[in-house]
Amino acid sequence: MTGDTGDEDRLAGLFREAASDGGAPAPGFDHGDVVATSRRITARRRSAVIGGALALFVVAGVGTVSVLPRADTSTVSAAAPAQRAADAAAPPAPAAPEAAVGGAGCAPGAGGGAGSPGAVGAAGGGAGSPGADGAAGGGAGSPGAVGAAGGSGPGSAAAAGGGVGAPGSAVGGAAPGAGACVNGGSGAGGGAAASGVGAPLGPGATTCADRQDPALRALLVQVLPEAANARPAATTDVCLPGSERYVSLELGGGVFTVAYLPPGTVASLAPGATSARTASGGTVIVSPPPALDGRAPAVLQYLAPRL
Amino acid sequence: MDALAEADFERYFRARRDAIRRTAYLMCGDWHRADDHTQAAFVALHRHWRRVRDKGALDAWMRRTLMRAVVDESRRPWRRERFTDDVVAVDKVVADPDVTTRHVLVDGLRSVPPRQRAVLVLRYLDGLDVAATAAALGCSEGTVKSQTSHGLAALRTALGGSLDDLRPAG
Repeated sequence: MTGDTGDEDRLAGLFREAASDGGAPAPGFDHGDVVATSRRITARRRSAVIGGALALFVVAGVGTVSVLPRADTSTVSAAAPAQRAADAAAPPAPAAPEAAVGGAGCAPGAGGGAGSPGAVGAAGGGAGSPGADGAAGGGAGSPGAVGAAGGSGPGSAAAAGGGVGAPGSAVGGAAPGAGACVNGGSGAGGGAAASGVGAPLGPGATTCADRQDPALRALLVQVLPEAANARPAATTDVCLPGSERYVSLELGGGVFTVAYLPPGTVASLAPGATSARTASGGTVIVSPPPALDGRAPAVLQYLAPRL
Repeated sequence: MDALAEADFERYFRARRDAIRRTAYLMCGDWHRADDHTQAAFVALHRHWRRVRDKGALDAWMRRTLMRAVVDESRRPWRRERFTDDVVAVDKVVADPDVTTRHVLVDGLRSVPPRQRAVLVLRYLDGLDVAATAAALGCSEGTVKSQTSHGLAALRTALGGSLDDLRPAG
């Protein structure tokens, strides 16, 4: 039948007749409806495109922000050699950045220096009055100063000016004539080692962890004096969380590494490393070279309450 | 779209709306759904109007869009057509010969699968040859021929002896 022209004509007529709209309802739409619908769809598509572009922009922005700290690694690594050089050239009395120098030094008659608020482990520098032999200085420690070493009177051997001030220590003044005012007036370098333990150092606050954290190094020097003159060991440029602290020094024919991990960080110890829970709830890990294995427990014992 | 293009589109719309609506009606068997499909096809055409280079091919474009819309819609689960062995109840048709023809054919077309129905409508309502039908449906000419044959057979089966025009010639 399909090949028959007559049949096809009859079929076509039949279809046209069936599709005739004589009894059909009027069209339910007009040109205006079509145009309005078209514009609505176009506007919706445009909004979707704009929304998608904005979402992409936001995602890209978040990605950039999250990647930027990693990019800072290069900055840190670039600065690291300079810092190492500075460390090497520094006098063997590195003072912690947080150290508050409250003392008035060895000025005659100077009253005890008051540590600044937040001074940790301050050696409250009381000073005896001039000529007041044996007068115990009653210097006031700063708020938060704990275990302050009393001010020294003349001849007081107790105020042995340490070469290195503890982090956060306020350096007290010493009375004139006090034989112990060896380095006392020199500011950061002075100060007696506190007999007590101040507030723990706690997590760092940098973007990437400082691989040669000066505060941690200053603490280490307190218990491991040879660390004062040790050269910083080479470290990697990987950006570790800024709340962590590290010190790596070339000591004892190897690398002496101290790491502080904030609370909540799981530590995995390398062979030979030892760790202890710190006062702030974190973990301190000491990884000594074989020659200094015997010093690790003392270092841990000293650092744990101070970190 | 600028005013000139809008005017062109409006002219085309007014000239072709009813014809396309009739095609859609035969395709789906319902005037309201035919309105929906026709409007959807015109909306799509309006959105692409600026990109249409060959205005002479508009009818082909519209046919293709319409056929796709109807066939796609017939595949949707909530509109999926159910085929049955029951023959269309011809005795429901009213006595008016024209109306009878219309109802019988439309009811019969409903029982034909959508692709075969599209081939029949394009060939016998729109008067397209095999090649044009193949182009409109995006298939080969052989497929159009076989679909035509199968579609007519299905229509014949559905209508029985209701319409003499569909009896095989010879």
